[in-house]
Order: sequence, then C-alpha cells, then structure tokens
Amino acid sequence: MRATAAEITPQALLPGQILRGHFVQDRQLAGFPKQLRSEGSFVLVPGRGLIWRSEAPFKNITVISRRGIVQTVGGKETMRLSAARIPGLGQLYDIMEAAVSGDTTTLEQAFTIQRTIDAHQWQLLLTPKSADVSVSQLKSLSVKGGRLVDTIDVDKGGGDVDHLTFLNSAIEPLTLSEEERSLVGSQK
Amino acid sequence: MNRTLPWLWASLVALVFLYAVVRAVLGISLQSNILALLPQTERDVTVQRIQDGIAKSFSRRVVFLIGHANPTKARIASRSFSFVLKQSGAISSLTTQIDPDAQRKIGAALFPYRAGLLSNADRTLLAENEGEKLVTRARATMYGPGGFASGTLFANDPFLLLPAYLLALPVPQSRLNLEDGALMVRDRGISYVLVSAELSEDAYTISFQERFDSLVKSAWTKAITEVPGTTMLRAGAIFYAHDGAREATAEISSIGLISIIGTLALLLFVFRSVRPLLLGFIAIAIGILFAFAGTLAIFGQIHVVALLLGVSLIGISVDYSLQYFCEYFDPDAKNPLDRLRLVLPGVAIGLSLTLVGYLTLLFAPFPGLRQVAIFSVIGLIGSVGTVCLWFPVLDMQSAPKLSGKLVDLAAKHWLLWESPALRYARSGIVGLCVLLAAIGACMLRADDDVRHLQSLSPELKHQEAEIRRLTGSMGGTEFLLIRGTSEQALLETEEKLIGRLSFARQQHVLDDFQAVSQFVPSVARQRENRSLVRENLIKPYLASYMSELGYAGRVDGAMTERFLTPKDLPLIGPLSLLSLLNATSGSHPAHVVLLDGVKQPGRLRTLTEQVPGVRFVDLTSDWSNLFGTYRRYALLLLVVSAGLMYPIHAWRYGWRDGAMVMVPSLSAATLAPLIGATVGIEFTFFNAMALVLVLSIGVDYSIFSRETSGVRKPVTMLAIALAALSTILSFGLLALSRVFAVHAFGMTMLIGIVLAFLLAPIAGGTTRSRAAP
Repeated sequence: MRATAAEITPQALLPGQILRGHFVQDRQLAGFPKQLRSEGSFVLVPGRGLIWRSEAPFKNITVISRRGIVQTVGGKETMRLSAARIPGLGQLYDIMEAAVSGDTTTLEQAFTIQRTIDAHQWQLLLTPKSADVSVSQLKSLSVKGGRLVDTIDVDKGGGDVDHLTFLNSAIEPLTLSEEERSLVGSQK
Repeated sequence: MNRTLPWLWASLVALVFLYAVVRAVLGISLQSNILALLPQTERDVTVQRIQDGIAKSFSRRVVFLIGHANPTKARIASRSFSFVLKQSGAISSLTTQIDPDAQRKIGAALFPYRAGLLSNADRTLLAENEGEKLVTRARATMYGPGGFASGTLFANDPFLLLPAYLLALPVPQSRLNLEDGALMVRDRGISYVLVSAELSEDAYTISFQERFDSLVKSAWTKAITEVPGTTMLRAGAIFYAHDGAREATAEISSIGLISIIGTLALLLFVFRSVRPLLLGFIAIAIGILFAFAGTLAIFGQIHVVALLLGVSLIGISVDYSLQYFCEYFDPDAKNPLDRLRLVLPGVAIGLSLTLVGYLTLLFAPFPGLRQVAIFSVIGLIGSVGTVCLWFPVLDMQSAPKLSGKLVDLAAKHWLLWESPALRYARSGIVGLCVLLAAIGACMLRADDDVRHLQSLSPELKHQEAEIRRLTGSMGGTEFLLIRGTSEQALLETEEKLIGRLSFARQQHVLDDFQAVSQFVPSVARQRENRSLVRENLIKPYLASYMSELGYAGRVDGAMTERFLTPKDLPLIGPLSLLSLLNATSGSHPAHVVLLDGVKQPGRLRTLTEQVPGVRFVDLTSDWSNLFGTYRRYALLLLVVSAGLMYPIHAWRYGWRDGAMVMVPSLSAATLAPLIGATVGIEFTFFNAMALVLVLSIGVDYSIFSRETSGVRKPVTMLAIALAALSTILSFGLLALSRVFAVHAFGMTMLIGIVLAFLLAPIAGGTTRSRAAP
C-alpha cells in the first residue's frame, strides 16, 4: 500500500540523533505457564549500538551492536558474543536497530513487508525472506507505531513470542553519559 | 682383442635401451621434494611416519588473500577466483564461504551429548562452586533482549551451558572477521577475503606444480577481469617448490649451456677433431642410459636430485675417455688397441677406486644418496665398458696430427714437482696451502640451517609474511605431537596440556593453539563435567531457578546419553580443523596440537614435554638437525672411503708408496673446506658431499700420475689437466648457482679439483725411485 499525505509514516532518525525510551518486554516461552516480564530503559545510538538496561526483575545491561552482544550483571560481564565469530550476529543488530527505529528500508532487505497504515497508526508485518540466514530462525515480526515505534511482536516459532512495548520514546540529540559512551564505544 | 665382445656390448646396450623406452612409455615418476632425499630417522619409525604425514598435509595447504578496496567486490572476486580452483579437481577442499548454518549444525550434532560439555570458564566456575554466576547469566539471558532464550532449549538445557560451550570453541585465524559468510580482514583501506585450500596431490610433484601454477594464473585472470583492481597474496609450500624448480631449471639451462659449450670448445681446441667428442659423448650417453634404466629397475622411481647428481658423477667417465684420447699425442701408441692397452691399468684402478668411493654412499642411510650411488656406479660401468669395448672398434681412423705444444706445457707441471730448481716454488705452494689451511681452520663454520640450505624466493617470503601479519597465523612449522594408547588417552593428555598452553599463551610464549580436546572433552572429563553440573548447579539451584521463572515442566539434561567422541562431529565450520589435528597412523593413535605464533620455542618445548606422551616438534629445526647429522655422516663416509681405498693402493704399490699416492687426493679433500672457509664459505652437508667426490676424482688423478712413465708422462698429465678442466666446467661452474646447496657444492668442487690437479704429480713422484736403477 502506498503512503499518502494523510497517512502517518515512521519517523526516521537523522544523523546525530539518538532514541531514548522505556520498554516492557513480555516473553512467552513454550512450556512456561506465565510470561517472563522485564522492564527498563533503552538508548539506541544508530550505527553504534543499542543499550538495553533492564531494571526489573533484576538489574542487568545488554549492549547489542555490530560487534556482537555483551551482557553485564552488577558491573560484571557475564556473557560476550562476538559478531566476528558468529555468522549473522552483526546483521541481526542491523535488523534490531531498524525495527526499533522504524527504518523500513533496511528491514526490506531481509523481510517481505506487509503494511497496514491509517491516519493514526502504522503496522508492519515482516516475514523473513528465506535466503537470509540471520533472520531465518524468526517466524515473523510485527512492528506497530504512531510517529515512533510503539510495540514489536517477535514470533520466534515453536510457541516462543516476545512482546515489546515502548513507552516515552523520544528522539534526542546525541548526548551520552560517560557510562553509555563506554558501553557503545566510539567506533561506528 | 676378442671380436665378439663389442657385439655382446652392443646387444646389452640395445636391451637396456629397450627397457628404458618401455619404462618411459609407461610413465616415469620424478620426485622433487628435497626432503624425500632425507633418511627415515633411526630414532622412531612411528613418530617419523606421523611427522611425514603431518609435513605432507602442511605442505598441501595453500592460502590466498584476495583483496579489494571495496569489501563486496573483494568477495565477488574471491568467489570467481575460487570457482576456477574448485572446478579443476586440483583442490580437495576449499574454503571461501563459511557455511552460515555451520554453527547450528554443530549445535545439533553436539546436542545429544550436552550433559558432559562445559566450556573451560564454566567448568572452572563450577569446580570453584561458583554455580550461582552461571544461574545469573542464564537468568539474564532468559529475560534479556533477543538472544537464544527459547522454551525448547530451556527444557533441555536450563542453564544454557551448550550455547556457552559452542561459543567457546576455538576459532583459528582469529584476526579474521566473518562478513557475509566470508572470512575477511581489513588493512590500509583494502578488504581481504581468505581463500584456503588443500591440494589434492603432492605439492612436490613437478607436473602437479606446473598444473597448479597455470590454474592459479587462470583463476587470477578471471578474478581481475571480472573485478578490476583486485590484488592477491599467496602462501604455501607448493609455490616455493615450484619457484625453486623453475629457478633450478633456468640455471641448469644457463650454467649447463656454458658448461657444455666450454667443454666442447676445450676438446675441439686440444684434439682438432670431433671424433673424441663424439666418442666421449657416446660413452657418457650409454652410461646415463644404463644408470637410468638400472635405477628405475631397482627403485621404481628417480629423484630429480639423484638424476642431476648422478648425471654429473657419470660425467667423470669423460676422464677415462680423455686418458684414451690423449694417447693421440703419444708417439708409442700406434693404433687404438695400443692406446687402450697403455691406459687400461690406470683406468681400471681409477675406476675401481671411484666405484669404491661412490659405493660408500650406499652405506649412507639416505634413500636419495643410495639412488645417487646406484645411478653413478651403473653409469660409470656403462661408460667405461663403452670406452674399453667400443673405442678400439669405432676409433679405426688414424690419429689426428697434433702439435706437441700442449704436451710440452703439461710436462711443465711435472717439472714443478720434480725439478730441483723449483724446490722453493714447491715449498712456497706447500707453505701457502698450510697457511691458508691454518687461517681457514680458525674461520671454518658449519651451517645446517635448512632455511639457508633452500633458497626461498624473497617475493614469496614477503607475501607469506603479509598473510601471516594479516591473518594472525598461517601455521608455523612447530606443533605438538601427542601419542598414547587410545584416542581417550590422547584427549586426557591434551587436557593436562591445555592448562600449560593457556599459561604459555598468557605469557606470550605463543599466540594461540588448537587441539582436538578443545572440541571434544575426554570421556573422563565428560563424566567429571556431568557430576559438576549435577552436584554444583542442578542440585543447589535448579529448583529455585525454575520456580523463579515459573517453569513447572520437565527438564531433560540428557544425563543418560552416550559420551561425545571425535568421530561424532561433523567436519564443518571450525570443526574442519579436526581432520588436520588427527594424525593417527595405522594402529598408532596420535593427535597434533597446532601452535600459532610461537615466540619462545625452547620454553614451550620444556613446558609441554613435561607432560608424558607429548613431543614438541619443530619441522624446521628437526630438518636442520638432520642436515647436521648427515653432514657429519658425509665426513665419516669420506674417512671410510679413504680407508677402503688404501688397501687397493697398498696392494698395487706397497704400503709406503700406496700412502704416497693418496697424499694429493687426501690433501685436496682436507684443504678444500679450509681454504673455502678463508673466503667465508660455510661448511654444510653439501660441501661434505662434494668432498666425497673430490676424493674419488683426486684419487683418479693420482693413479693416472702413478701409472704412467717415461715419455707418456707429459701425455698423461695433459689428460689429467683436461679432466680437471672439464670437471671444473661441469661442477665448478655450479658455484655460480643461486641455489645455496648447489653453490656450496660447486665451490668445494672448484677448490678441491684445482688442488687435486695441482698436487697430482706428487703421487707420480715415486716413479722416479721405481725407475731408478
């Protein structure tokens, strides 16, 4: 469907802008009677990384970037996955960044996109193009938003679904705290 | 002379020729690996065989880096490059693209054995009873963004230990990054793609080298045509081998040409006739024919070095022809039979002594040298047989009319050693030799470093260094060899070793290592892991962890499954390394631990060999040690062959005179390396081999000097001078070679032969006392 002037479109980040907000992640896993809920805040620094700061049920920070994934609990690194060693990990970050920031151009490279758009809300239903290995594990992705992304549903297949809700998201100029800078690094 | 003998010889030559033709039609296998000339070490046949196998598989590895300023274009270029290689069949395995699904496939293969698989870090935590940290990590992942948290995985591996194990598997060439399925590295604005391949045939087969070289050229042409601006770096033993063979071929044609033209010009000048040339050629050709056929019949194949050395050794037979032809200058020799009769004693004794010299090579435990010995002994017999049986028949025309000037000149060489007036000149020569020998003795240095003995192309060395710099490793010539009674024993040994290696890595003794046990723990270790997981993780934490997550289902830790063994693993992705690490030969289990960037080999050797069953192997230094051992061996051969020659001398000339006859050749063999040392020539195995030859040839000169008398003396000396000149033209010229081994050989020959000629009249000196009334 073609966007018209009356229809709302996802607002893309301009160079030098970052996205901050809060998240609630409800994770439905096969065999688990109740959802695993985590809450916290996030910062997306385009090209540099996504800082996922979980506050509840316990504090931990996950940084996802083109270089890989680093998980820290209580200031101690508990896991490090290097994109240099895991095929598709770098690309996976590109997709996450694109999904959180509503960058459809990047998403279209790996997914077939079905759009539903009206004056107040847009919705993208993404199904992986079979050839792309980095997302072939996913069943589908559903991104909804107004001006910015509001929710993402990730269906990982086999009864595993992540439902992400973003609150108070705001586009801001690039200002990072010392800690954040050290988390995402300065490297593009 | 019996008339049937030449005919019998002719039919023998015909038979041998026929045999050689049949063998040539069936295909002759030529070997060019210089190491194939080396002996099986006496120490341990099994270790040797395993090492040979590893050396062979190392030599079959080829690495290319295809570079372009644009990473995508570099990938495209690398794909078209590898496409051509893959199509050819010259490559048994090739890696450009990493199977993007490899990780998942490996995960699936390991899944049933997960209960016993722990990464080193996790294992350490559990052993220190720090299981809580693993719970924290698993919990963070279960709640964290994305990740591999899944309901199914949780039910089978609640603490996510298998993913941790998979992620800890060692990755070779760690400086490379995986981009779009290709292993890439970026440097100074150029993106390189790694293309690694394994040759399907022996890197040292010359025909295969040619084929592979043209294949790389065409693959390369395709790549630059499709993606202009592409660059390529390459490394692999085959490139060095091919370059060396090409260099040798080029030298053989240039040095060989000078040598042939020089010899031809010399003989034409002296004899003013082509007849000696033709006959001499026939004698050598028949010698080579015999040698070739005989060697093939005995060994089934011929090594290039044996062929080259052997042909040169047979070239010595020209000395015997020269003895015969110089009788043209002898007024007493009226016909061919006279000529033969007069030279026969000298030739017969000279030949038998030379055969003794060459046959001592048979005692050398070098397969290659034994080939050289057989080749030259058969060849010499063929040549001398032709001289004795055919020359009188073929040389029926009258002798050419020759001027006596050359004979007069040769007579002066006798004077040098016989004239009382030249006493001081003689003392001067002897004094100078002694002085040079004394200086040389102080400067003489042995050199056995295999890297000096082969001259490697600087251009290829540079490319290899670049690849090493860019990829972080290329696999050196060092590795650990693990031996034991069973595969499990090997794994257990490696597990003892890995702590030491990790420590060494921390201490920058080496950059990295890869071992089978990093992929597959021993069964004993898997049992330990299971109990660690059960006692220190599941028992204390599983229940609370599950209730925290609200999970009420069943957890299957696969505790009853079988144990993982190396054969259960698919050889894909990082696991393709496993085939290289398994060095089991027949019923002798053996593993290899690859070492990258070894900086302190001595320390690493001490550190690793303390673990029983572990041997630190450095192919380069092993080969260097071998060259050292066999340099000493060659010297021993020299002594042995001199010892064997003496009784023959004594039988013919008496004990005292026999010793006197040996003085010139022994002096030449002793002085040559010492005088060489004064101009900085190091003493290598190849110099030692040249000395064996100097002795054989020098003995010939002495015998010829001793066996002549009266008016024949100047004629004989002329023949000796011609022999020495032709030997220098064929061997001495090798000193011009850029191939170190050949150069060393040539230098020693040059000095040795000049000395042998210079001193030869000393052996004849005793004729005076014999002739005296």
